[in-house]
Amino acid sequence: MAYPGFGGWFGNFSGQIPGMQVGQPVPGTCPPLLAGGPPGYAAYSHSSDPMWTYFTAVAGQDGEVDAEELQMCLTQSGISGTYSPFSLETCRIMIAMLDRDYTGKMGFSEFKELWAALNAWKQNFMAIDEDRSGTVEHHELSQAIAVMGYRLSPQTLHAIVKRYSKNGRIFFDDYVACCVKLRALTDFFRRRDHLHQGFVNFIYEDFLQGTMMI
Amino acid sequence: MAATQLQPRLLASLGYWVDKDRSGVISDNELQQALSNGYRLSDQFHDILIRKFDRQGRGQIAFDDFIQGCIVLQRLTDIFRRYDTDQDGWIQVSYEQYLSMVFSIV
Repeated sequence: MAYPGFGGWFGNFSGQIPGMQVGQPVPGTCPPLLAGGPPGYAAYSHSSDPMWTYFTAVAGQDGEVDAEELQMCLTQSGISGTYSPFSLETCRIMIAMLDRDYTGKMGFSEFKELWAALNAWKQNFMAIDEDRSGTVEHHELSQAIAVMGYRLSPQTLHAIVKRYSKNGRIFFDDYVACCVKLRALTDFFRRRDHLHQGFVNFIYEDFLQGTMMI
Repeated sequence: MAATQLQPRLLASLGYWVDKDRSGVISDNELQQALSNGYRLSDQFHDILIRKFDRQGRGQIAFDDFIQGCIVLQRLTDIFRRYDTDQDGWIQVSYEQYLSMVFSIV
């Protein structure tokens, strides 16, 4: 059954199949969401991975990065390109998005997942920001959200866009924050919607906890 | 027993009341005490809140982070209550309703 309004599997922008099964990555696109990876992952050679270089340069003894370290790492990698580097707050919610065990830190495999998502979101943004102003307009953000696969009503879109708009424009960092929040909230909702019905019964504390963690 | 409680008192009693040792920051204990006065939340949730509020990662919460956190808590509680028409501590919401509810708050 098609999950109403669901979408936003990062990287699956073009050719989003209506009613696509939740959780099925489209072959040939990003790495799977689930941690662990394919068999033989332990044999993966990190040393040849350029991302590993950025990551280990800032990760502490525990092999994980906190928000400040992530910000350093992403800034050094130049992933923002000509756009302003990510704010600390955006880095914080990036960690929260993938932080299943609530440690407040991010390991390398989560970092790779984030990296794939960031690249896809950036491509999407750049496709709209043709003049490279570093900002997009309200209707462009709504479009970008739709392209990511979210099927949302104009009212919901309006509420979302309003949240990130600064004088009628949305900056790249805020756009990424929006993508992160959308994905994190959708993931949380989806995890509660065991029967894929498109609605959830929340008890107060779980509602608070799940929502505040993002 | 009501699962949710409005706490207008909580915001009104901030600062002077919460920061008991006048250190200028709110410790884990002070946060726990502050929240237990209005919100009936589990220990696990307290831990999560502390981690979330403690933006500087020092096991302490800066005062403005505390205020911000309380405001979010309060607004989420308010909106939950609005949907919980029979006041049983449960709500049923669709995906879009959920997004609309929380996006303006978190």
